[in-house]
Amino acid sequence: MNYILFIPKIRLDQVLRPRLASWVFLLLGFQFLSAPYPASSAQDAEAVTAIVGATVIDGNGGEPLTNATVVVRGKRIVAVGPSSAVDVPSGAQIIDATGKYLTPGFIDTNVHISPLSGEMTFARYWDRLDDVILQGAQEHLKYGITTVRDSYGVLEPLLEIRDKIARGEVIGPRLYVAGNIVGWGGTYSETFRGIPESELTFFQEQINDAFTHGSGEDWMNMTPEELRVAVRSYLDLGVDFIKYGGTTHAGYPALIPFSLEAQKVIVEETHNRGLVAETHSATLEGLRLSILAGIDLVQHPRSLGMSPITDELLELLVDNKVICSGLQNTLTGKVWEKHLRDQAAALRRQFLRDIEGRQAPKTTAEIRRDRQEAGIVVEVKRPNAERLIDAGCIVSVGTDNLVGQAPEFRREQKPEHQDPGIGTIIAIEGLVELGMTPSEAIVAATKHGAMACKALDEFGTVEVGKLADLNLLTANPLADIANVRKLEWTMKEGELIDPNTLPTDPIWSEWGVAMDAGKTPGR
Amino acid sequence: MSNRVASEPMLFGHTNRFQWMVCIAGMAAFIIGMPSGTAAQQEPIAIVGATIIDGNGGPPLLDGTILIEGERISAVGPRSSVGVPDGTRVIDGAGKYVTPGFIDTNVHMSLAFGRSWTDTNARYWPQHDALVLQGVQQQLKYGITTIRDSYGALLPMKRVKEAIERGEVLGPRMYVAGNIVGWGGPYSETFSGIPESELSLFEEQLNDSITLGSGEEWIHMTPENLRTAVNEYLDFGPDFIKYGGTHHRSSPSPIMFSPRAQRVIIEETHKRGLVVETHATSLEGLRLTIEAGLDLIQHPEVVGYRDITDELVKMIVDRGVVCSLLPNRWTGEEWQLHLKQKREDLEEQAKPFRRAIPKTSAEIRREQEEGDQSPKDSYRRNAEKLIREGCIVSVGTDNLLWGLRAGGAPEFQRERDPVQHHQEPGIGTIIGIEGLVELGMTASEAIVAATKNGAIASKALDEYGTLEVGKMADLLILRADPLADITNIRSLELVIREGQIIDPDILPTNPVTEAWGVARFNDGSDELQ
Repeated sequence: MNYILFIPKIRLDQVLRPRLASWVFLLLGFQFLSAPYPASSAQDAEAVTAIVGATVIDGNGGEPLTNATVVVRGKRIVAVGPSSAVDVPSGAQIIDATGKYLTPGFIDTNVHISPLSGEMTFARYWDRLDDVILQGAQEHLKYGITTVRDSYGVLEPLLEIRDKIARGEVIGPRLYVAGNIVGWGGTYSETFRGIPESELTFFQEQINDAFTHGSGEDWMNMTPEELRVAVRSYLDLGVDFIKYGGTTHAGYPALIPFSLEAQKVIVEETHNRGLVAETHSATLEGLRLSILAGIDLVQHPRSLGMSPITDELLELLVDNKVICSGLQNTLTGKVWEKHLRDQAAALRRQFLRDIEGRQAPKTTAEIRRDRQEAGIVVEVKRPNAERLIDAGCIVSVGTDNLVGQAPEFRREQKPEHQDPGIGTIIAIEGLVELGMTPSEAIVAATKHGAMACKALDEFGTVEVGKLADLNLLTANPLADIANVRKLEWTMKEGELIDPNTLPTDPIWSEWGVAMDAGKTPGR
Repeated sequence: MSNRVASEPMLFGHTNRFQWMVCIAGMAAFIIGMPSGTAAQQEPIAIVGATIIDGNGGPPLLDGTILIEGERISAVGPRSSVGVPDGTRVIDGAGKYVTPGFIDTNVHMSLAFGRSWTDTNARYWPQHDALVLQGVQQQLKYGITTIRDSYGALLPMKRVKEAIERGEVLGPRMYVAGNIVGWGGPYSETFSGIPESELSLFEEQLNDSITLGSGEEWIHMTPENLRTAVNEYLDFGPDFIKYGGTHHRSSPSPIMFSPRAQRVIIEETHKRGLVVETHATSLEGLRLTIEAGLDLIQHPEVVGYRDITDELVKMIVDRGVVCSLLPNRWTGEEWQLHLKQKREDLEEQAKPFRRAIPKTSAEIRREQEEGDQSPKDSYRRNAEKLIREGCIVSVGTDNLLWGLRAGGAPEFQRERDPVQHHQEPGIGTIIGIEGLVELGMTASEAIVAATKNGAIASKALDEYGTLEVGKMADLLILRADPLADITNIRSLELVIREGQIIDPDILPTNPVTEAWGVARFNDGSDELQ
């Protein structure tokens, strides 16, 4: 399926609904016609599993339940309680989990499992993006992340993989898809990357269209009434949530694409469909407007240019129960140590440069650069993240994990802290470094993630009636949060998965493989 | 928190002695050597028996007399009823037409542009004051007696303005804003889409000279810090404030300041009794600025390639917001060229499209912009609508020191502008006034726009803008009737500026740059041939 060539014709002031609908039906029809994957280890509706003897950390943050039994029938949890009080139905598959720890499946509220940039990657893989996405999705599941929210990527192959996973044709985490960050113009655009449209190649224009599907920078030119129509058209494409540009992408300067009235329209129309509305908003005033517009979630609110977050904003976030999906993986652990080393080196370099004594005083641009280099950005962002936790915001684990460029085009290995799967684990550990207890970190990684999907009634905690998304760890994460790495198995909707079997059909292999290797594993 | 950087002096940090000498010579020249005298006339002046078009839009006064004493008008009326005291210098007004001096509410008479102007900036920055004087005198040459410079280098312009006020040099009345606050200077993302990471030292210094601490950091501030920063900028002494309502780019044009941040800027400026205006090129962006309470909109006809809505026009009319249009750009020869280009583009588009891959949205957008949805068509429609609906329209032009040409100073321009000078100092404003008639005004209304409304734009109608007793004597003597044919505003014979008679032919008094196509880089190689 050619994901880049599929470009609906979009004209300003024209709603494309009829033609768009026919494309959507065509897509759906194609999927019905294609042969389904043979059911792998999918259980039939009545299969019963009992996990016996584990310590259950249910995701609500209270005391763990020792010596417990959890019974799963089909996709759902039907019993949770002390082993002495829970009957194991006859015929149930029994898993002995003595001495082990059961948590809900983890949830990452901000990933990018389709490529975002790297034109060569698009050029080589544009007709195999679904494979790339599936591999990225399964790499999350491998670490026990049973639900991911992809907040920016190429829409169609993301929807296709989402649906294949939902139908059980392939193994993968539950996938929520936003597609474009509406109002931004695609990966090669002014709003996203500061590239003027006049400088684009033909291929880059096509890639932008594959991102925007009519929800690009034109939206900034609209009145609120026109925007309402445009938002509905975009929602009709079948996305799971809406992310909009509360500000432009760059950290500095960051401008505001939409007036408050326009933002309210976007949020309203999204809420009318029962979906979550979230934003990227990187200035104090910009974030305030987005909160006033009624967003449910804000991505990485610790990133506010070079500004410390204000008490006013913290209050607004807490009072409005806005979920703060943070980038805890980028501010902690090994990468934090590297930031500190880089900061020391930058300070020394600046000192030596300054004692050379140029006559003309520093320009404001130089002062800004010095501040950024010397880690002020990090020194501001980390305290912001700590204050968000301290103030009692509803914090979820969002990582900006990215599949990024194809490994054969990388000069250096991709840093671990934003790699699909392991990045999420590093973020969970990072929450503790930023001030949470391990118990709170697990709540953030599970219950709050489900709240970010408005699906807490369906999953996110280990409770009767909910979907059986579970992780079995061989050591106690409450004693040491790093034990979230000790994953024995993960379960998604009742289906037991051995992490070592994932990803099932990797398309990207080792980093730094030679250009002409011609290897296409799995095909 | 603003970053006050002592920007002006540092550019001289490494200039050598020769450059210093040129610089001092230039400044001395315009302070000392003005040929036409520097003091207002001592004797009264009377223009007798002329047709007087006073700027209020009513029927002209035939066979009238204006008496000027000192800087001000002391009498206006029919010839038979205005006495002329002994010792008055009498100008025979028979067959002549007197109007108030013209007012351009949007010029740029300093070095404040980047990209293709970098060579010009590098060469001429040390002669900045002299350049500004050349530009503003060029405006005065065409009868523009008051200018509002809404974006440029504040400190050189203030020095020239003050020299004019002290009578040391000839020039128009000047209002200067300096930076468009919130934008980062000529080489910035918000002004020209240039990322900071790509700048040379000189470009960064130039940005700082223009912004004087009022750059892009403002959009990252809390309202409290912004209030402090606005006051620090106001302490530099601009005559009015222009702020970025949106990005400079016409489309897409995101919003710069939140509503409450805009209210802070407007409040603090109004506390000092000053006018506040904006550049806002999206419908929602423009709406926010009007709701925030601003006094004037620069080129409101440019709203992100969209037709301006009835709702916005009504808001503008109801609140009496001044619309400083750009009539020189959507009329005349420039407009004819646009139509010709559009015809050619549409012919090109009419050819069958043979590529299998469908058009990208960017290609569709480009076609629309070059063809039947051209932004310029929308700007002209919007300008006509604003005029028709009774907005207070003034004449703005975006005149630049050497017009709208890549390169800047004449020796850096490859070609002359194919269009007749529609953004050059002085003539650009004349073309703008003529353009108002093409956009639907009568000649009389166009003159009101160019005079009275220009004074309203500076909240100074009690001081000048019309020919009334007690007001400043800024007026023009034309040889032919502009009400019969608006192009007769080109028949300028004399300018009177606060009571001082000026022959337009002597202006500019000390031009710094040569004419186009004359000066060039010469390494001496001519001699080798």
